[in-house]
Amino acid sequence: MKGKELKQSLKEALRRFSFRTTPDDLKRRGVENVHVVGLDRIVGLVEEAVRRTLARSFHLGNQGAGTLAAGAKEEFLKLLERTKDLEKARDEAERMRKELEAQVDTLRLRLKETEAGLHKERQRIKETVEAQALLEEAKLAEAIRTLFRTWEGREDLSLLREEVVGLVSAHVVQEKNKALAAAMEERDEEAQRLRRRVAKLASSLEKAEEALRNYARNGQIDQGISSVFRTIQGLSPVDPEYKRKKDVLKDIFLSNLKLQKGIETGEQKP
Amino acid sequence: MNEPSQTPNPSTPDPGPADKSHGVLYVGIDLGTSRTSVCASNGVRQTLASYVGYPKDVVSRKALGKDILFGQEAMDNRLSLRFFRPLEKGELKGSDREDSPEAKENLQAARDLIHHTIELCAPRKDELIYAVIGVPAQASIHNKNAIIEAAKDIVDSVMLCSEPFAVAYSMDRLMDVLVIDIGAGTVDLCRMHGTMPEDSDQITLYKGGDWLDQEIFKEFKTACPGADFNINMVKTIKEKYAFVGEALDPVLVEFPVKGKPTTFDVTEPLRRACKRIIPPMVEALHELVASFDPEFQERLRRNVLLAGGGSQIRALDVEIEKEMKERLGGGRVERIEDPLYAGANGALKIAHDMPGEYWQQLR
Repeated sequence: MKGKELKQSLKEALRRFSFRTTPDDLKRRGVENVHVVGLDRIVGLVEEAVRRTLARSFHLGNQGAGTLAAGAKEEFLKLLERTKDLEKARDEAERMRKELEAQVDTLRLRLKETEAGLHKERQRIKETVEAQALLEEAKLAEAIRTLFRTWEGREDLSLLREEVVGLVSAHVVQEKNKALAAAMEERDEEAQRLRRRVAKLASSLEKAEEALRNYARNGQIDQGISSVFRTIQGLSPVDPEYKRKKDVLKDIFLSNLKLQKGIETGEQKP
Repeated sequence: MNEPSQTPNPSTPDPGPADKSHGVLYVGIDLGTSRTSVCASNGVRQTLASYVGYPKDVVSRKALGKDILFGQEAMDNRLSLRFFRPLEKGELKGSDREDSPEAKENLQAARDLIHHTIELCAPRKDELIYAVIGVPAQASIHNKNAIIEAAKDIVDSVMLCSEPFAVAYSMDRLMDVLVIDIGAGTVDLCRMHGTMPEDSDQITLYKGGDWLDQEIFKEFKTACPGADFNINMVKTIKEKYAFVGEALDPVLVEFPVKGKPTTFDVTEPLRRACKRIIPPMVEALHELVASFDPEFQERLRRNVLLAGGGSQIRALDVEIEKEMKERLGGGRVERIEDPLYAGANGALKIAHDMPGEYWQQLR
């Protein structure tokens, strides 16, 4: 099982670290012929080379070299397992980033709407409280004046009357400001809460984006593996079985054409 | 049928300016009941068990960290998943009853499996993807439609071909060869005589790997009294030890008996079950040889290729030859070298050799 895993992992590692090029690039560099070695063959050679080197360098018998090779295999697999974990973490970070972006967008919108609402509400509260206060003030002043009118005729009371009116007015203004501040504070708390949430999410988003940038810098995000063919190929005219293959390829195409055109027109649907 | 033109068919919609200008990725897929293998023209070769799983609920989704699991990973986590093996007996499950919920779910699973298989090839976004998918020799029209529909939204153009034919094509052996492709769902026999095989050239048997699992299971039930095991455990044992002919070593396996691991010698029951796969195969082989041009029967008997996962049963080639000697007076069976990828390799080779205008017309 480990052997199979190792072969598979070696293949993946070879693909990941191999240099990619195209026949056109090679031609431009003046290369006319290339030797092609299959991945299986390379993997086999690497395994055998490791085993022989261990046996020769450390004067180990087959069993000793085998034990060392098994240990090395295990370490190699652990390293690759770690890479797999990193890839899993990258996918998770990518998913998290998308979720966070969506949350931040929603919250930013909500914050904007709330702040606009808050501004309007503030104005409304201010106007209401002020109007109410003015009314209360006028009522109170009138009540006090009425009271004092009952005391008219007594010369020593005129000064007192003005002082009482002034004092009560100041009190009313103070009460008005307190009520206004309390109302504003309640609305501000919600805005503050939203701001804190946006800040927290923005920070998480930044971390997720940084993690993704790191993966990209380390070459973890692959753009895919290029095909060795730049253009559409086809059967080589020098193929020894050219005629026969040409005929069977045509048959395959025709049966597929019939099948697929049937799908498109619905002819073959039950 | 229309003769394919050498220029793109005017009735075919123009695919538009090529935003996929980087190159052409050819992909060959062997979509099997048990395993799906893929080879691509960028050097990628992958194989995975044909299993697909979707987390059952939010909790399992969070624990698994994925929306879809494939292959062995799906198998290992199947208790937390809505688990699908979308192919059965070489066909997409329910492809003959398109509107049933089971068919829809299996079609979706097959679609996801094909998508995942293509993704395993790591294609560049700016490359055209032309794929050939190997399907069982006598797959129904419904089944072929379902596979094409599943593939069409991820590749630029797709063609199907019969699996045994793909195997023969991969080895450049198109003349007087008889291919036996032993898969999990079916055993496909196909004789090649230089042209596309017709229905009369092909026989599909439904006694493949899955059937063999059941046979081994029955044998083990008798041979291992009190042992607790399931079909997956049997499948694992089969993949490791299956043999016919002489046993080199006793096959000892461990099964729990009332919770206690107990060792059983299953050499004989395993051999008995594995041998049962031979007679129907040789009978079908006999039929194909006997109905072939008498002048070339000898050549056909001497060119039997054994492919597919089932060909890895130890000494199967030798035992088939013995059976052929009795029934047909002799024959030569050759086990192909790379059974896991031979079908996919052949499909890739067909994709590569297919003229460009054919691909264009199917886009």
